[in-house]
Amino acid sequence: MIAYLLIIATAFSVVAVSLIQLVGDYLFRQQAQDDQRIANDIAAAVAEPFYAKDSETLYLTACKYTDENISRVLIIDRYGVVQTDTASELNGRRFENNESVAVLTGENEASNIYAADNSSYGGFDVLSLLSGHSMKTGVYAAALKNDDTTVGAVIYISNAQEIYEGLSTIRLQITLWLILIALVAIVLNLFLVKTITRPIGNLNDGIERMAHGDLSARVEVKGKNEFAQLALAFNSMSERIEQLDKARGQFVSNASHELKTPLSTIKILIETLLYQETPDPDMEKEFLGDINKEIDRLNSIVTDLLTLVNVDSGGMKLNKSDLKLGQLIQEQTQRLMPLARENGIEMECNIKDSCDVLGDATKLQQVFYNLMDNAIKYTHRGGSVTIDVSRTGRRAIVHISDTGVGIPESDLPHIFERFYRVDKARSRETGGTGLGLSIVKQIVLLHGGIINAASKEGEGTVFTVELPISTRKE
Amino acid sequence: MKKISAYIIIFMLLITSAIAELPVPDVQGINMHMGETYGDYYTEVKLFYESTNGMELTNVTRNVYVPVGGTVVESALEALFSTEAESDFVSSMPGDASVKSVEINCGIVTVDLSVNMSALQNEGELVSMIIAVTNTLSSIDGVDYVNVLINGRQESIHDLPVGTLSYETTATSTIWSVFQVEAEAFLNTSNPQISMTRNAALYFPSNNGQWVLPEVRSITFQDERYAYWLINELMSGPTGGNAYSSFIASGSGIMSDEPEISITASGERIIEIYFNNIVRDYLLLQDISDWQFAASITMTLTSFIPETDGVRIYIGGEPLSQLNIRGQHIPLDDSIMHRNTFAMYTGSTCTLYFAAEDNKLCATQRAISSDRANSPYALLIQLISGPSSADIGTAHIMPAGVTSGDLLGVTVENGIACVNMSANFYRLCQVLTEDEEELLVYSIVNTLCNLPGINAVSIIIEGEQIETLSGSIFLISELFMNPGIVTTAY
Repeated sequence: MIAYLLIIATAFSVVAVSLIQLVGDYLFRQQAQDDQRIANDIAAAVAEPFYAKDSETLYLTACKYTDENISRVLIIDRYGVVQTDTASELNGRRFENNESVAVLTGENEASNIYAADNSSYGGFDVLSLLSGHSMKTGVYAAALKNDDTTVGAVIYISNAQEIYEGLSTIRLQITLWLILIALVAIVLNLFLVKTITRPIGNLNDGIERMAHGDLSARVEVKGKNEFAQLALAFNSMSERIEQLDKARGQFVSNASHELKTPLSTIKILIETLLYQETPDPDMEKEFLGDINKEIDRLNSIVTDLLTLVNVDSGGMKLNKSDLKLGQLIQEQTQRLMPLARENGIEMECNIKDSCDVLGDATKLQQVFYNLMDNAIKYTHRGGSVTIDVSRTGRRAIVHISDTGVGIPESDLPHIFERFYRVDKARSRETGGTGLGLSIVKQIVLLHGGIINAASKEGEGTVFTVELPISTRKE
Repeated sequence: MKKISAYIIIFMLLITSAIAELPVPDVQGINMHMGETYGDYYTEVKLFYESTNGMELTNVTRNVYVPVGGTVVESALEALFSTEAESDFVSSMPGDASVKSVEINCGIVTVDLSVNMSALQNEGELVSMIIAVTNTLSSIDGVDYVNVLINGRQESIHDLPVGTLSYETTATSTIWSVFQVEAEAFLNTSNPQISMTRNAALYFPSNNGQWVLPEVRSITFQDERYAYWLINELMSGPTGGNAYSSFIASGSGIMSDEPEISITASGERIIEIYFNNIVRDYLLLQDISDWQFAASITMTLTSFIPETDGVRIYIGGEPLSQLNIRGQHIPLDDSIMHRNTFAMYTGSTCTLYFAAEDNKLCATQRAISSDRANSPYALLIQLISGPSSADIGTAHIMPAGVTSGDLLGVTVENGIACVNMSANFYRLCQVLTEDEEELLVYSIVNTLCNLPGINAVSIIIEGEQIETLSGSIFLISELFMNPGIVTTAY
């Protein structure tokens, strides 16, 4: 703010000084021209009476051109001796100054404006020539000629103080304007601070807080201008970052937990085997089998985690090719049919349209295998799993429905989150890693599709996968 | 280093020599002016002649020669009456007309012409002659009024007095007609509403008891009692300045009888004036001598009333039979006083400048002999003598010790009066302050510049030009009059 004021003050000072200089120069030049003209007029008027030494006419003529305190006329002879003075004070004295000397030594006219510091020359205090002692006095000389010979001079002395005072008034007015504009600038500045600088400052504070780890930092939003929109965007961004951070923490916690569980189981089983006094071959075999399962499970978890990391980092490349989705799903149904039969679940696949899609066959097989496997796992014996493949417009729609345990409504929004388990004990029993649906969703999204789930607890669940129909053949 | 210093000194010397100064006059040699010297000169005057139709006057400008000791008035009259007639104009003067005498007093010129009246064919010629003289003389600087006498007397036109004239119209026939109409109205009626106005020269005693001084006054005459109205106007006193003395106060009982006109045995036309004895008390009170009183009456009446040769004054029934003029007993033949009885005692006034308050000069008038009124030497002597008791509010301007002997001489040439003062005067002036020096110098300059033909004054000491008297007023130039330094003129 001080910087603004300094800039304004400097700019105004420069303008004011230049303006005063210009106006002053113009006014002084104008007055100098006018007064020199008067001096020349007087010289023309008194030339004849001067030559005739008609002092009465000289005096009366000179008096016509003078005004008390403002102007005065001296008529000097060729030696500088004052012969006529409208103030009758200098008669008989020699008026020796630059202008009289210049004119009496050959110039036709000469002039100067004397100020307080240069008034005295040749014994004459020019400023005292006008009563009231003007601070600025103009002296204008015009030659009196007779047949081209200078026989004397007219000295016209005028008060330039009026212009000087006029300039002072202008200077004062400009200064007042400067102050007024500075005040306006301050008010404007306060307004700008309130509307621009302060929101930016608040935003900056929020960013700094966030940079220092405070992800809960939010910015107060006022109004609907661009700064308010920026603050809203910042708040939205920081909220998202906070959620992601929480999710990351949750993920790490979950991953640790998921990895630790099989390791703990393996450790208990191994310690039991190590510290038994009388080894039991059956028990050892059983325990080793359990250990093997846990290792398989660890392997699955790590594989799934690698898959997700691969997806997150953009490292997963789809090996796309034209394929018939119906056929792909039919094959997966066939693969899982024995498992369903084993669990006493009726499994049915309805292919209404073969649905040509452009996709990675392996990844899509993983998607539908996973979804069908989950349906079988969470469906009680005697239940059924139905897969419907159809086409709606340019979308291939796959419904995988089961008559299983269903998903509580509160859990439904989180089922695609990593390591989220609806029934944590049961899901581990079924051999799940907690990462399957997350991977499924990522693969579907990579194919430009969408996946969602609808469920009613105790009645079953329906997963719907939509994939874009390939346009190559069309 | 020395070189640099040398260059600097040379440079400074060059600059110093390049600064211009005011010109100064060449040194003149000693020119010891002594006494009073006038140069002869030529000057332009307007001469008025009768035009060929005889109805009006026309003028021609001529250069006339003014000899040493002469006046422009005399030269102009000489040219006007010259027999070398202008080829294109007709002189208004009869062939035998000549100038008998010329009085120049206080801006009034009284010209007495010798004219054979019987030679004039009609009054129109008289009008033409009077107006030609009047206009010629009125055109001269310093002449305000002209009084034309014919053979020592005023002549009438249509039986009316002419009075004192200033510049008149050149249409003489118109003037003649105006007189005719005025005469018919004024002379042939008893109606007091019809009056006649004329300029008349009234002669008042001077305050120094030496002179009578004329003053022109416009007077309205209710009837033909010209003497009565003129004396009445005299009693109202002068207005001209402090050189004049008040006349006897007007009032009832001053005059015992109305003035009368009588014809003497020798055929002179005389005005008889009758005063009571109380008039002597008034004269004593006003410090007016008998001769000044008699001169005032005589000069005033004979200068105005047509065809009047003289005046006889009675006081307390006794005629004034002799006069004591400046210590001289002048017997009056048959108690009759003529105009020429007092002509030589008709003075003039000069203007002198003395110091007043506030470093100003005050103009004051002084009665002086007419032939010395225009003498710069005489005026400077008056100035050196200092103010009189009548010069109220003025102070002596000369340094103490200056006498008339310090005025060595005055020379007038080409309108410039060169005043030559003594070394003693210069020595005495050394103590003057700036203001005193200014007042002294300009008292001399203004006094002399009031004289006709003098426009500037130079002051020298013992014939040598000096720069200043005491350091302030430069005398290297001739100085013009300083009108602004004068505070009050009487």
